[in-house]
Amino acid sequence: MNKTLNILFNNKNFKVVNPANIKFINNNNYYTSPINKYINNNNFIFNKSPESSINKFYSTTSTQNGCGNNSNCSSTCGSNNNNNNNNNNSSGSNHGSELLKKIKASPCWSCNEHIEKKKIFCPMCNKVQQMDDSIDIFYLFDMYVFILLHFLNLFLFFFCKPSFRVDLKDLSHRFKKLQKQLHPDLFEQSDSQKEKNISKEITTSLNTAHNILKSPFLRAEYILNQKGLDLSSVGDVDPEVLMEVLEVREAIDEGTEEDITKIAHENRQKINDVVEKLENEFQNKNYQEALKQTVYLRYLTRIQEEVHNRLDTHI
Amino acid sequence: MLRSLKALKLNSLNAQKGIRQFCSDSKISGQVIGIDLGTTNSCVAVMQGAEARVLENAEGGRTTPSVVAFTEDNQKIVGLPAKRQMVTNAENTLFATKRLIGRRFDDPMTKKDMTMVPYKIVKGPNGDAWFEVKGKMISPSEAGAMVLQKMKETAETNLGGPVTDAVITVPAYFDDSQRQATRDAGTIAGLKVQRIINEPTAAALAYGFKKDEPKTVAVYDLGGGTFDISILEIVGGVFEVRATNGDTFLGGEDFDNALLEHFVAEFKKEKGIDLTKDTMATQRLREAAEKAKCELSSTLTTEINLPYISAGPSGPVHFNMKLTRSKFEQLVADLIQRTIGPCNICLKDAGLSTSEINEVILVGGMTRMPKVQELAKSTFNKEPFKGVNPDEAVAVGAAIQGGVLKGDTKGIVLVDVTPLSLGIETLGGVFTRLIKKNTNIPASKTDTFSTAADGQSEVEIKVFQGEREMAVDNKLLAKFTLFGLPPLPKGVPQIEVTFDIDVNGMLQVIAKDKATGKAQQVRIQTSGGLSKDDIARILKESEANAEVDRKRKELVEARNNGESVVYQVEKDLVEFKDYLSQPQTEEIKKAVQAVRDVLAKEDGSAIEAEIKKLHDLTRSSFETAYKAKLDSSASKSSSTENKENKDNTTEAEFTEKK
Repeated sequence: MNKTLNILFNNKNFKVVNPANIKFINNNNYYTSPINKYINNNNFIFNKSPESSINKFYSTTSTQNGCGNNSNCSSTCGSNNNNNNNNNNSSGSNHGSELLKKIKASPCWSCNEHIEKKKIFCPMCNKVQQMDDSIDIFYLFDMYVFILLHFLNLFLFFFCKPSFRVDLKDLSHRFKKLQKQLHPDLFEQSDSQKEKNISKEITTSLNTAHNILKSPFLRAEYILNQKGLDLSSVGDVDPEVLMEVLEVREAIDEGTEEDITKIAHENRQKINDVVEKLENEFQNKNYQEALKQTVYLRYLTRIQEEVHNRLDTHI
Repeated sequence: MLRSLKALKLNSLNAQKGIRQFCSDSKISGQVIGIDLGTTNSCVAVMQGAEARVLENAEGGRTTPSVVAFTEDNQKIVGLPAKRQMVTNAENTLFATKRLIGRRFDDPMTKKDMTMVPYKIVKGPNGDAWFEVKGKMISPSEAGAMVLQKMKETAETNLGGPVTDAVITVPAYFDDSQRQATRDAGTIAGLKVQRIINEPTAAALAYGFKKDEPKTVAVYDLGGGTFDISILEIVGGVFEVRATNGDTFLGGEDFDNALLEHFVAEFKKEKGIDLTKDTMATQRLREAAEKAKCELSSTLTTEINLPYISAGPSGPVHFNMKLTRSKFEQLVADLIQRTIGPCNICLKDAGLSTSEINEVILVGGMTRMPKVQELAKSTFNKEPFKGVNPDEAVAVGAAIQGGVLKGDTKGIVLVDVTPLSLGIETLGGVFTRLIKKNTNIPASKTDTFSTAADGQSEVEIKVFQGEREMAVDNKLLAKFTLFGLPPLPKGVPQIEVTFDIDVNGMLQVIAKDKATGKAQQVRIQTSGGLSKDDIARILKESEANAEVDRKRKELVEARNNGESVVYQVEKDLVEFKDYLSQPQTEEIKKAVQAVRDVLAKEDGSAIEAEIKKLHDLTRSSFETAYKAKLDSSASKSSSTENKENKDNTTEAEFTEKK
């Protein structure tokens, strides 16, 4: 603790925020740097094309339906984007980098899980990490600790809590609350182009994150990706699953509207069952089993989308 | 995999050339007006204090007909005056031009529109639908600009100062070309378009402004030319659009047309005369159809009386017909029915059922029709909310958004969606979506593609917008080519394509070869139908026209002034004839005649000069005459007093006068 304080005080680039000048987002101030840096990381994460997996599924299905050459049917291929855009130009960013580095280095004090790209909130047990260091740093700003903590709490909680169980209503409210603080319209008259850019980046990330979190399949895929697991790494899909999917698709193609509606309700029930299983698997950290269930959920989700398009009704 | 088309280098250069820089860093110094540029009527509003106020035009109306006319003397008139003269000048009067804005000439909807309107629709220089009036080519953006200019003048008159910044609304289901063409119209009209927002979203803003209760609302917007359905969640000042759908060619104009066809058919059956061959008769019938449509919203029966509609072998023929509401509803039942599909799709896309909708808001003039209200009620199982003015809500919402952008209105945020999917064409002509419809904006998406042929050294990126599975069935927004790929077997190169939509709905596409780092990008603004040069030319012409209009206005004012002066002078001549000498009278009459002669000419300055001459001549003469008359009056008054002092006998008075 003392060592941390000394480091900060000895750094020539460190400066104290003048309370009268504080703004919601002010890039000239130190405390926004962790957010700025974090946003870049998240922007990268959310642009890892989760949709491409669905496209792969579609290709696979097409293959199963006798499309012929698999390579000709593939319209996309997933790829990791390793271009991590880091901003190292400002002194504040250096401090942010230090802070994040410290946070990343430590395992979760509660469940002892080592997590890649450590978050302030442990994704598995939702405990705040490195509170001692955080409290000490924020304490320097004294009266601003609440503001900063409040913002970080809202923001990071939204992004960094990949607990599979999500209350959709709560998610929606958090999303709107953040939009109300970060939407680009609110920075339309800002003098700082950087502030506008950050606002757009944040909101883009918010929108992408919101889309991922509200979909059980995308949510599961996201958590698994964070654990370093990729759906494409599943080599052999359970033959029973494939058979089931083929039968359902045939029934959809040949069925009446009434038949399709029945299939939709059955499929919805299956989705709910798989989601419940996934909640248990993630709770128990059975990631390999979760991976299998997520692959199955991908097929079910695709079937449901197909049904929605045929019926023009949400079930 | 991308198709290995060998695109000409020129194509890419052309695409680059068309790029316009949209300045999103402009500061707002004055007030921001909200304009509802409607197919049939337009409306303008502005935030004043904490309230949005609708502004009245020169004719005292809160809405202005979206009509532009070109008269015999090549004068341009807009609004109600233009609508009034439509019967006698139908070929040169443009209305419902919003239906063609941003559309191609070979679009099926353009073909359909050509059969519905009396003015001429032609193919523009870039393949878009344009108008031809009196031998001159006019783009729909120009026509829209004329209406917007009228709205701008209305605002400036009301606010007592210049207006520069505006938020303009468009149908939610407008595609990118239509939006860009609307933005162009604003630029041509001399407005800085701060934002293009969707009409149902604006209406929801007007509805939900200052309401704190969280609600999920469906906005059912059936206007003059378009139908939109949007579902929004309103929570604590955040208006989040969940889904939107619609039909950009369904509205009140179609209802008018159905009635018109019915009238023509009945008349032909009864009288044996085809009125469609007579433009004036058809236009009178169209007006009568619109009036009947409006009346039948509040009455069960209406009567159409059009004397001297045509001439037959036995003399003039009159149009006389009774129309009941039920008959009208029968005629347009299929049109109303067409709104159900988009509603269901919108509910599906939003992932909601009708029981989760708290309110159904009716917007647009056609929602006054009882049958439409019934259908909205049955579709959503809910009595529609009627507390929102269907004609003004959109402009009010746009004004509120203007306040938000200016920073004056706090606590309000619009989170809208892109109404149609965006993607590129891949091998076999398949449309591959990168950004799906109903994605919240701003949005960004990256996908990786590869080549379809061995040794392919370039790829053509074609950007499409729409919901069809084959790319050609969708709207092509732009295309460009990424050059200089190293020769590799097919499937090996990795081309990263990024779609980025900003909060204005502007799309930027970047294609990058990950191996070489070569990148090509385009900001999608080329498909608005007008190039940068087009807009510059139109603005220059607009300035020249403004000068002509100003001179014409001066001439009209001079003439009015001249006629007024002549009338007054002649009146004074009669009054003062006893006190003016004969030479004076002759000289004045000569000057009056000179003014009359010059009134017939086109020279405002000459008129003013003659008026001044007459004024100088008559000032001293009439002043002298006026004094003389005053003296005479005083003398008479004195005489009267003397009479009163007499014996008051009639005989005596009589004797005195003799």
